[in-house]
Amino acid sequence: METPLRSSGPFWLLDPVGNTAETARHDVFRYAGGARAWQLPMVFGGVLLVASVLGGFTTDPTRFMNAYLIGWVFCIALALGALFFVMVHHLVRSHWVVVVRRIAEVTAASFPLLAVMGLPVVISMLTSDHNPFHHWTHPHEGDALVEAKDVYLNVPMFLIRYVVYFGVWSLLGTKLYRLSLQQDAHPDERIPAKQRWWSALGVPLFAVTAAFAAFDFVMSVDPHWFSTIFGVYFFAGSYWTFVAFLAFTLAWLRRTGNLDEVVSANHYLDLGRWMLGFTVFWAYIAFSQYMLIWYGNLKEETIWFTHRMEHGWQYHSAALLVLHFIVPFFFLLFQGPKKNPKWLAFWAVWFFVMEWVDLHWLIMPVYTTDVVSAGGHASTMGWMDAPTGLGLFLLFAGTIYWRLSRHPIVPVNDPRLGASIRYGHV
Amino acid sequence: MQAHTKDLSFTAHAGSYDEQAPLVQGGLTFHDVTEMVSVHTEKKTPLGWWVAFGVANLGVLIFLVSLTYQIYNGIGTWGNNVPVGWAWDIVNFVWWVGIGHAGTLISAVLFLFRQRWRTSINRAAEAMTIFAVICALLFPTFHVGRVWVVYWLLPIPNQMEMWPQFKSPLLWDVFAVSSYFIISLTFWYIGLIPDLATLRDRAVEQGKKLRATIYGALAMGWTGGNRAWRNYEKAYLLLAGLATPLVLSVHSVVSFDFAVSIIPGWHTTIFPPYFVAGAIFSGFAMVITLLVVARKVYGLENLITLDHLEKMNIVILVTGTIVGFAYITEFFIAWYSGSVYEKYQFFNVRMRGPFWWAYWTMFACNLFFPQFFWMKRFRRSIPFMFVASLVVNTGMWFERFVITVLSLHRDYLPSSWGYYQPTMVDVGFYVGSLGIFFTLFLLFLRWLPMVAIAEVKGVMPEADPHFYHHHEGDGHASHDAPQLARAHD
Repeated sequence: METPLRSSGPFWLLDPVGNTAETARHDVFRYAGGARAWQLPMVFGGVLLVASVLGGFTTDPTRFMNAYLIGWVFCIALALGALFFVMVHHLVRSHWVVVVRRIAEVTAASFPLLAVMGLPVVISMLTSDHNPFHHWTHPHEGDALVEAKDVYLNVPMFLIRYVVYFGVWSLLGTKLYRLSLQQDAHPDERIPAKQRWWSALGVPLFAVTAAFAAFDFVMSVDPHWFSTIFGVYFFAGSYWTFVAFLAFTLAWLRRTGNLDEVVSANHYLDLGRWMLGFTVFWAYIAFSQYMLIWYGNLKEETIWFTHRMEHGWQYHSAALLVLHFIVPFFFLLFQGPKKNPKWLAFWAVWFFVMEWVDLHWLIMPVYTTDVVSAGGHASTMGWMDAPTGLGLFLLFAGTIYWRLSRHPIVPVNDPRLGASIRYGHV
Repeated sequence: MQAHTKDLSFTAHAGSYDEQAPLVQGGLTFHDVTEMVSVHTEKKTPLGWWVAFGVANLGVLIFLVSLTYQIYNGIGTWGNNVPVGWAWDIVNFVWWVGIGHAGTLISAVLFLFRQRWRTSINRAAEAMTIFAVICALLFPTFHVGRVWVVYWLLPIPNQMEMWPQFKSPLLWDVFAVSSYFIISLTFWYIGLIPDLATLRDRAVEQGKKLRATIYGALAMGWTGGNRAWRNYEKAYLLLAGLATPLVLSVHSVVSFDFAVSIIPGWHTTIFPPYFVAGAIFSGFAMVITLLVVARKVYGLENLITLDHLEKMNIVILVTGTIVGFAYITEFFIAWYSGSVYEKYQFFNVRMRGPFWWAYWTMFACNLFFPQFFWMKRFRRSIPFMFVASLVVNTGMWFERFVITVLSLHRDYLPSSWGYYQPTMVDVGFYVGSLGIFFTLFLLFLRWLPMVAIAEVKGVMPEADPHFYHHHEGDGHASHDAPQLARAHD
């Protein structure tokens, strides 16, 4: 019989489980980052977001809503990467990962909050044509391609899928999070099997929902365009970003003295390998998508890239090639940067920026192209784009660190914990 | 261990949690492993081997007859005809290349992922890769028609200033598959060196001079010394690093053959990762087909255990489901694209067209059938997995057939629509390629250690440098008491 974990009462949206920090069995497993670690990002994020709303939403609501969508999808990508990280390592019974897994678990427990963070987008879809999806929520007369997709691309159907995606992700994320905290408080040998069971169920559900969410939240911003690989592309960036977030968080926790001698160079090396691996994987998927469309040269497909090769977007495209792939690839090939937490933290920040640039490049050109084709002028990088995204990310990261501060930062009773610590010393 | 200074000793109990069944079972010693693998290359050739070899050679004969007939008469002896210009030749090419992928995945990718269970299956899987790539290369080679000028595929400087079309994925294939073949062969050979040296040393002991000379030359003076091992392991890691991107690139390039064109059903961006997943899927199925038989016949059940087979079945489940999800994505996007040609190809031609049976065979074999592997009972049942492995490779053959032929026989112009039927020469080529594959594989089983002896020893408890501090012996055979007897208990 499971002893239920305390609920966190009015804060259930931010953290479904009450404070369990006392279950940390050793100081090195206890959060020692101080409250400022989550307060500062929240305050800065809040300020940036308020400034963007005041300055942006009032002057150019469509652009602001696009920027908001980009920031929100960035946070979803981060949390989805975390969810996949947790599940896949449960399934392969990974040892090394145990000491860093809690950070992934607290990130993957964010989906109820993310569902709420998406409400401004939903409200904008319901109330006005100043929304990123206006090409299909308010289609032009005679847009036959969009009309043909009406059965799928309509607001009620979108909302149903929204509920399904966040329902599935929240269920998986929260369940795996609770099981892990349960293990801290009331050790039970049967928990790893349950975690595996949920992960086995979760991976196929994850694949379908993440791919279709990528179609819905990102690809359908331009409803005329389509690409079967798009879900994989989104996933590649998503996992890439989360592994960077994990490395960054560890490097920072290390400064506070947490996890000292628990997370070692070997763990960083493995995270660095994931970062390198997914740098290559992202490039492989991006190249496949680009090359096949370029080669086929069908107008209905190439137009999407054409929009990203003109009016200043060509520099973003080039930046993606050079800074999302080539530069990090050549640095992370070497062991030095992968073993060094400071270097990894540097690359992590780099990855956050590039993932955001990538999402911005996927979404924002639809808006600027609309403006330009209406005879106006739109910069590729509006002043509110980055502050909105950074504001949302900081707020979101603040909630993750707040959650982390309320629990042991390592699954202290995981039966593989010893092996994971020893892995650092071989 | 520094962590102890902080008294994390309460985490120490955990070490034994995952102690599953050992990778090598039956209480074998180092010497037993050497003995039970090497002996099959040293004993008198068994009758069963000759029978199998004879059957496989019959296949080679069929191949040679079909080949002679085809070269003499031309490509028209195949069923390929407008609009179906690519058919069994390309289907078989892709099928064989795909099968090859498991070997590289097991030997290189699982090595990088530190999956110690790979050690007893990698040798045979890599051999399978090399033979499958050889079979694959037969088809495009003879599909060029005038095979005597096949070297024109290579960019060889010539006085006519004639160069291959560098923008064509067919040329990329030449580079991708040949570099794959070269790397796989090198990787396989490097891995073989310590074991070849073992066979050499045994031949010397047995007084077989010729054998010792041949294996000696192949072992390149391997001493087993510290420096030799150091260099060996560095080379092995580097080759694993080189081979890993090849697992992705080869079948991606194969998928480009289709996907760069604008034929409905071919032109879809998910092809590269989806082909790679399919390749791994079919390759693991072939490894199961081969090893389920080989481990039984050669008495290697303690090295290639049921746990190994179960893990491979899980890979089959995962990759099969990825392939199935790719099918579903293709359907969805075909509809979502709004393109009438895409919709027609997917919803009419494939599901209800003249080849509907091929389509549904593919779907059932690849997406539905592997789902049985969710249940442990099926994952660990030898008869079931053997059947499943055959079903999977049937399904994957049909997948390539569906992609190649179904898309071509209903293209943009209804006036050029047609039907496709293979000829006896097509069948002869395919059956013949199986014959070539099994001939090569049987020769491998006969002359080379089919399990990586040195690597398997590395995952046994005896490999721990402290093992003999609290265990008797030193890991070497005592000559008066042959220990192999215990292996056959």
